[in-house]
Amino acid sequence: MPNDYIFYTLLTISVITILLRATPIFLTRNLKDNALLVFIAKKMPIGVMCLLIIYTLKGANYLVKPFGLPILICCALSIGLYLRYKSAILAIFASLFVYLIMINYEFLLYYL
Amino acid sequence: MDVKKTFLITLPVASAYGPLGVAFGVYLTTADIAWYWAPISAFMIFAGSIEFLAVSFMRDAYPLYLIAFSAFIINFRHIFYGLSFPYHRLKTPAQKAYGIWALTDETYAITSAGLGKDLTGNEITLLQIISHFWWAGGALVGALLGLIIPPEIEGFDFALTTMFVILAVDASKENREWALFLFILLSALLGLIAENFVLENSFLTVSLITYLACLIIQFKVRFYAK
Repeated sequence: MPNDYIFYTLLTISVITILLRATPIFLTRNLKDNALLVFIAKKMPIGVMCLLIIYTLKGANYLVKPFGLPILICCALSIGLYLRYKSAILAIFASLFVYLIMINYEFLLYYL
Repeated sequence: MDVKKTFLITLPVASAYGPLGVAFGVYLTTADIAWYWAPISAFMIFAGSIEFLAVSFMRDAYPLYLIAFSAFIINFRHIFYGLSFPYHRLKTPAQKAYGIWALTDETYAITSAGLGKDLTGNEITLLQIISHFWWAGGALVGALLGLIIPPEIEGFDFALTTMFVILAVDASKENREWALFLFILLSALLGLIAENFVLENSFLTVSLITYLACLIIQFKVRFYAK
């Protein structure tokens, strides 16, 4: 991957994130008075996160074995662990660990 | 300036940023990006989800305008953090500028309401610098770990999925509205159609715009109904 493409990608995201964080300082009117913005900000996160999940799930092939089962099972595992133990770090790492084992089962079996 | 107190306040941040930074570093290196970009990215962006996504975007060779648009929508919530972040405590322009740059979910929560609500300006800057180091340090450790993982091992992109799953569970506690569920389904459907039949890699852009449009329409309908 070309280094300048990586650099400009990071720079673009950095600048946009900083501009968003800085916006309220440069506005004289309080953003919290804008009912539409407050409405959108409240309902945005759930939609964005669900669409991002779908974005990462759409790469799997659900028509051939294992029919996307590892990724779906590990998503459920992640939700279950998070609700049960209330620890995001535990849920993320445990589900990632199980997923890696499921995906690399044959390779691991060969070497261990 | 109470360095010890400030450092102790960053420990809960470290327990989140450290492991996540490691996951990010491993993900970046196993996605075939040179390891040194992990700490550089953590230093330049310091934001979380969008950094993991950046790796995914680069792997699919996204054009910069799509990356810019996605970053804008995904980080839109940051526009509201600046409102209650204690800028008035920061003195020099450099401190204020860095304060904005390093204004993450966690530093916002700590300095505006949490343990750090009595911190002085210099202590806030120190808190942000230490947190920034936890994040970039985790990324560096993860990147180096990624180098020793055999390339045959696949599936590190699941780190991205499981992180969004956790964030979605959190977000669903704030909002349990059936309409939003329908908006998400419609947006995802249009995104998938666009990506598969119209334009490559257009899923996120099309689905996010559709979702935003649904919210605006819902707002207008409610507003005029009143």
